[in-house]
Amino acid sequence: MPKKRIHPKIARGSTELAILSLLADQPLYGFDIARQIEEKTAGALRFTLASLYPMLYELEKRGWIAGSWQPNQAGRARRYYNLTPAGKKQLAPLRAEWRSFFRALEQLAGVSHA
Amino acid sequence: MPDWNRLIRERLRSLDLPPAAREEVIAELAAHIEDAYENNLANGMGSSSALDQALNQVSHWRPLARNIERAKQESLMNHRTKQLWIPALVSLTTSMAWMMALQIADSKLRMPWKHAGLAYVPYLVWVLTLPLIGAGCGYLSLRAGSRKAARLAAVVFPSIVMSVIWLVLLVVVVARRTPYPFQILNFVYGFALWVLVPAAALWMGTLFLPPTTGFSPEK
Repeated sequence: MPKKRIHPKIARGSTELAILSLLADQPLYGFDIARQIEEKTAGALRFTLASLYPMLYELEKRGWIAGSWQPNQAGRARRYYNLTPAGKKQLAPLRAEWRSFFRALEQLAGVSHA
Repeated sequence: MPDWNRLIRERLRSLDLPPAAREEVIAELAAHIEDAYENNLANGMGSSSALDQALNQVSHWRPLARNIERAKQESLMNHRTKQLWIPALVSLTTSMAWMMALQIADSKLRMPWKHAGLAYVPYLVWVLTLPLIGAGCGYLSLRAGSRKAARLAAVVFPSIVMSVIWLVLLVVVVARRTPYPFQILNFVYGFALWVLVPAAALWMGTLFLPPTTGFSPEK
């Protein structure tokens, strides 16, 4: 059953973590990143082209991910993103930061993460 | 099948990025819209609504263009540094240091050309070796993905600096109204020797480099 969609303002803050976590498993291109985020969160988190690409370019600028053109399964050129060593280093502190955030919310408003 | 690149290019007209970066963004977003369109078709939508829904992911294209520019800005500055400023400074310092070395060698060593009355030999050696410096700096710029204009500006940067110095000199000479008559021919001669000839020699070094590598997703 699809979950209720999270408000874009709340979702926006989680984009970094969502993208880096997905890319930690395998290189993906933009559309695949958006699709996997939607599938894995049962539709609760949804990134459109407008919200996804500025963040991908921002992460690329920081050196956390790197893009390169490669053919996808259908043989079409797509820009695949890899997590760089600098990006891998960022992932653990980012996860810890979100855990603290949820703990703080739980104490404050009785909100706990799954 | 729509021309995806054209569809995105029309909507991102305001995207202000260097041509190669701009084309890469357009190709990437076009690929995303193409995938979204095909996904919509696979989910049973008609062609027209599949296209509408794919394009409706962006309600306002101008703010998206601004967000992309902002996200890309610093890395573009880095690219400009790598493509233009670093090769330009290498070209300037190498050519000037090489000229100084030749002049020092000429003044301190007993060079055979001094006895032959060939005062221009250090200059000739300098000019004849400039294509090597031009080729090296052109390669540095090319490796960073530069276009022809940026590469040319980087390689002939020493001549650009010299031309500014010569123009300042011209202004000073004319403004001070020295008692000596201004020799326009001498000025042109000096300008040619220190600006035009070195520029041509440096540029010749780039002729052996491969053509510019513009963006192409097929690569």
